[in-house]
Amino acid sequence: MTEVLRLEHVSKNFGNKEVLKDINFHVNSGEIIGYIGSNGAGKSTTIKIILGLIDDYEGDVYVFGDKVKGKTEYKMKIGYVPEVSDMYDNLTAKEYISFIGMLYGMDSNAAVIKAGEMMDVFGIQDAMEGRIHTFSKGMRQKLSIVAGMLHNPDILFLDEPLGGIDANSVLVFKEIIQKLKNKGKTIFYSSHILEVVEKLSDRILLINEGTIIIDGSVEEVMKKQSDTSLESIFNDVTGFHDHEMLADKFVDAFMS
Amino acid sequence: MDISLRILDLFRYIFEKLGVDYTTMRAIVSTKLVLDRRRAPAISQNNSGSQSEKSYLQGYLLHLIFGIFMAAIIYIIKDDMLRMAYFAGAFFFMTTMYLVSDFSFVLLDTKDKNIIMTKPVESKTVSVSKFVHIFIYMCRLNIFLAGPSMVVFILSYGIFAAFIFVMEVIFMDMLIFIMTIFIYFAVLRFFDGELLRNIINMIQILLTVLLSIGYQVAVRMIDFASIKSMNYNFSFRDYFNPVLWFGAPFEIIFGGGKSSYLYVFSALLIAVPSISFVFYLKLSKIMEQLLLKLESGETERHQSHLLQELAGKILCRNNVQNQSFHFANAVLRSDRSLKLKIYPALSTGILLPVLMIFNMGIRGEKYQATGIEYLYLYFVIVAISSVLRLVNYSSAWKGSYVYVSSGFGLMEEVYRGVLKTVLLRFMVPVEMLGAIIYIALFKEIFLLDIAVVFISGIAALPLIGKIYIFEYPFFRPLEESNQNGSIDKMLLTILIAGAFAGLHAFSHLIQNGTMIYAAVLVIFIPLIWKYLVPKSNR
Repeated sequence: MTEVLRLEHVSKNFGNKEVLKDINFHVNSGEIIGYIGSNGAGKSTTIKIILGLIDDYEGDVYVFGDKVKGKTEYKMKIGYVPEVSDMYDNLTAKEYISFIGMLYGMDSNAAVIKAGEMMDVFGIQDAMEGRIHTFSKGMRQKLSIVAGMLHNPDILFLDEPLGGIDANSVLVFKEIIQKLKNKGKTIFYSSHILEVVEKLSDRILLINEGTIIIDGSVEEVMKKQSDTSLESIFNDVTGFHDHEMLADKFVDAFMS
Repeated sequence: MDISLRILDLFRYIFEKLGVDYTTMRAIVSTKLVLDRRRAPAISQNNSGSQSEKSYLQGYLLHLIFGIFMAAIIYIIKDDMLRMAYFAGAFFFMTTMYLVSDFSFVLLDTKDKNIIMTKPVESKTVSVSKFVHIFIYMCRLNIFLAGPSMVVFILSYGIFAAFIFVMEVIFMDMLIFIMTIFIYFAVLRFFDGELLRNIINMIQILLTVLLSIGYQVAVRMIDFASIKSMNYNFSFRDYFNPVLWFGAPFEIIFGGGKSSYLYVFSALLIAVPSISFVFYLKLSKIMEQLLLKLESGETERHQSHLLQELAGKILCRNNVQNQSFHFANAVLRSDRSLKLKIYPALSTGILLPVLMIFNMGIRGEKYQATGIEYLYLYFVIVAISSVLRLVNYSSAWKGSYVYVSSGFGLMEEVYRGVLKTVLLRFMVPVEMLGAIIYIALFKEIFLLDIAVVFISGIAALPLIGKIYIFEYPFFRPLEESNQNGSIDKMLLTILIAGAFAGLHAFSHLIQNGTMIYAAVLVIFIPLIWKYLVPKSNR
């Protein structure tokens, strides 16, 4: 297996707040990484650094062995599906796809034809001529998935990619992830939905308060932590055991 | 294909020499121009998606009208220095207003970063695309705003004047663009993104008001005879007035001016924009960081609304009314798109009485009140009807599902709360402004009448509300508000306002009649507010 991504001593501060503290990990081709952590743990910041959206960080990021700071060519090899997609809402899906294709150096007609086939799988092929501002949340997310995968990237960064997507499409998407893995693609999957991460991932990276505190396969981690689910491991390592008490408090307020 | 792109293609070689990926830059600019066409200008009253391309063209027509107006004034001015200075003043003002209201979203864009910068595109290509996009916008604005004035300059001084004029306009554009950016970033540096959004919204409202009605005042206030004979006299403080710098080259080249200050002005007009541009390039990295503040979600600043709290307690008779009152206040405070429609409509309420007085010939102290001027204040009631029509709409209309999901039934109380909000938030300030103007113009002559108009307004509010409010408040998409202005409702409003005005005028025919009329109104107000508030049709 080839190493496709490496982070070495990556740290990042926002003002006085240390968001990432000496992050080190590497990812091999064909791996599905489940990148988990609570809100504000540093997941999105890590992804933004890898994508080049944040460049004033300490340490180094390597993609396919090349240091990426200040570079852009490596972005041809990566795809990104964000949780909430920024899109030009007044464009039609076709215009948007054509534009994204051009940014990746694709022929715009070829990009539209390819996207049409991919959208067909998610049942939104008829939306090609519709303006994006008329789309439902699920349709936007499906379009975002298509736009992020359009250029056949080697590494896919998925940040909560399933928000608003219908159950059938979720099943299709999970299958797609597995099949892409089999084709040697690398998936970096960041999510709060631990059941999905547990089922999909080969390896778990758990980040808490800017530090990677767990790195290993799901089985290894469960064995090591003597737990039976990712959820209970997550609760143990993040020190969160108040869920029952908080639920009681909510129900009390609800009933009053 | 957009003509701007054809022109851009002519410069492909230069861009490529500068290290820009031209194909990508062109794709970005082309997409941005499509988006511009589909986005209605902020000042447009028509912002529905299907109508936005039409509004886009109407926006240029407005620029052209203002450009012709500027050219007419410049044609009248004979002093070479002041002629260009007047043009520069008007051009600075209008271009800044348009840039802020229409193009702030480009200057402060954070979407591009997430859409484009995650792709294999050099940041230089993105920066140049942004610059080219803004440059195309400003060129289009320049053609319509400055084009007619350029014709006047060519007719006056010959074709060489066009060259000087175009060069000066480019420097003005640079100065406007950079100063706008600097002000934005100063606000972002010391405050939060929310304050900047509020400032931009205020400027959009101001521009809309100005374009809706302001020109009527401007035309009446300009004394064309004195403009014709104006001459410029130098003062040391003029070194700090950029508008005057731009007059200097014309005075030197065409007016034969030789004074040293003219050369200093000319040097300043080149040096200040150029140095500012260098600063802009140096600071652009810090500015990018500051833009991140805009990415944080919109949050209302923690302000105490003590007056509103107190008013709610005094005016509202029960909890539902009180909640509705505060809810309507919150929506009308925070819905920027709704405010963009309400304030221009409301401004006619104060402007129409003033215009009527102007039309009657008041200029200075010679004017004697005829005794019926108070009747013009009834235009406020007509203007308030626009607000009452608009409280049916909101840009966040989807939130009104709570009315439906809660199975809420006390709609009359909700309407009372909303009407009291309109009364306190819009009617009282406009009436007070009208009162101040009237007292300034006519001293104490109309004091009692102003009070009667105010009381009439309170009485008329539920009646006009009955015409316009028929569903849940803020229940319809704001875009639909362009389609529902019906003449019959407006006529009914004018009839109601006219009836109150007629009764008021009639009361003057009886001794102490106005006092008696005021007392009768005060007695009837609670009854009107009890029995004649709008009823829900749901």
